[in-house]
Amino acid sequence: MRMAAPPDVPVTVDDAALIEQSWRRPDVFAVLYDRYFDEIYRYLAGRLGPHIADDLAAETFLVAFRKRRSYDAARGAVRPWLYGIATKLLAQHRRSETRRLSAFQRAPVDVLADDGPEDRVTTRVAAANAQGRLASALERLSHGDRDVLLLIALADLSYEEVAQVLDIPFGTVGSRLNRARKKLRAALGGTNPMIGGSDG
Amino acid sequence: MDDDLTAVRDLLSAPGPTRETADKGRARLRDELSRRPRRWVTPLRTGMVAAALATALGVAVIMPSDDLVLLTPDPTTASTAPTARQILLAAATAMARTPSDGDYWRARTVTGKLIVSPDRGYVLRRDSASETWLTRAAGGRSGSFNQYLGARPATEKDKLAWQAAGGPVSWRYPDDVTGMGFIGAGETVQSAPGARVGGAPKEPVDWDEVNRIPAGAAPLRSYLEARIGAVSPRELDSRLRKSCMEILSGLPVSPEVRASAYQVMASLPGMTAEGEVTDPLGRTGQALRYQVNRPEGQVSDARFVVDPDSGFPLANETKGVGRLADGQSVEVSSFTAYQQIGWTDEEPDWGSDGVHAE
Repeated sequence: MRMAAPPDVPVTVDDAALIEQSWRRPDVFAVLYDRYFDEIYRYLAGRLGPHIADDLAAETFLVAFRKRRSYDAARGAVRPWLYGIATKLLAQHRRSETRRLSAFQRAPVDVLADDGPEDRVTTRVAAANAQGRLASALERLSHGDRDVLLLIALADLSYEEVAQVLDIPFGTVGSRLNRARKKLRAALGGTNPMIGGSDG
Repeated sequence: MDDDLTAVRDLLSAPGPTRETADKGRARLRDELSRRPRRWVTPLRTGMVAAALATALGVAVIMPSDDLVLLTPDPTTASTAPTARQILLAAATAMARTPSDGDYWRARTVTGKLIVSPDRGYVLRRDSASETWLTRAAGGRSGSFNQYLGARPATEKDKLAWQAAGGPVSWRYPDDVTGMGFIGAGETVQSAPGARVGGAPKEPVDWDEVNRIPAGAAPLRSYLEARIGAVSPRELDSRLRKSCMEILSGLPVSPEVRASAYQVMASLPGMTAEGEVTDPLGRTGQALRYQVNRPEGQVSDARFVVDPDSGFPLANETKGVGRLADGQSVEVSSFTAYQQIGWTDEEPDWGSDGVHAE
């Protein structure tokens, strides 16, 4: 986790050190599971829906465990490494991702996204429409562009981390992201930001 | 702006795994872990002695950290929570005494950001103001106004660095904005303020729905829980808090409902009092720190500033760490400061340009 530990709590062991320790003590690897399962799951569930995420999130950690000796701390942190594994696994489920994005365009959004806007107290009139257009734009992105965009938007990885995770040049990350965002902005057109959202 | 990325996050946000899913995945991993023979692999650069030492250290370090991991979900409930609770309950009492009716419900907020300049030399602050006026009178006119307030160096020290950089009045951001704070790649920030722009309320209000929001801590909590639906307990707490903040800062409800929102917040774990602070508009209030579960599953630190004497929320801030070119780390943030929220008989300044608001 990236949260700052309160000062009176001893500092937890750093991820890379855990991996190295897990070489000899496999059970140590379970700590990484507890640290990252939740967010890896959400990333996969966001892209593929909860059903496939149930399996794939667990699979991500099995693969990570088997590959733990090839993890190289000099090439980046553990967290993006896990996202890289998840994204590679996800590549075998492109069709499910496309189907999910198509479904967003047909159905009212809150039927599908159980963490959608329904917890907001007010009714968002324009939301369904805009989200349909957004889903359609996402569906039309190339796989490479979509991976870059979603690793940044959903996983909050830096450009450098995305470059490492996808094994592409740093500059390519920026150009793919720009291209993807241009398309999204065009699709979103003139939708209004909400009260309390980002400033103008 | 980041509106497109925010929209993507909103669209693809997913609830966390159920406990069952997490347990099943952990069981699968444990199977895998125990199946592996405990082979001794000596790391290349370490001899046997170092390896043995590392193992010894590993045992010593790992065992307590396993416990810590279990503790991390809620490190805040212990000794400091009652103070946060007291502050919120005091705010609830004060809030209940505020005006309960008026011709308009008015919310005036300033949203702003502290971001690192594109040359990573100093910190910039950019602000925008927004006003919403809502009336439920038949045939009444509701509207909202927005104004970009401009950008400037955040502090005197930043001002010196800005002057040394030639005093630019517009800042174009590069593709890599890592460590710059809440700013999008390729964006341009202008120092000059913009015009006050009016229009229909950004957020259409469904008065029937608003009127259904009950007062009283227990009824309000049940109402919100029903809307949120089945989520993990931790997620529920986080979403209840978010809903209460929305009620306090963004919804035209009665002071009783808003007081109840404070009470519900006071009943939730996870807020820590940090003492008296100055908010982004220079006002004094009590800071309550909490964590926000972002849709993608990460957690970020946020701060809610409240004035327990008046009962009004002052600001909500999310902070991060930015980095300057010389390696110095600086605070970056994104905030919303609430100037006025509540019922009033004042009239909005509709502006001379004949804004057509409905």
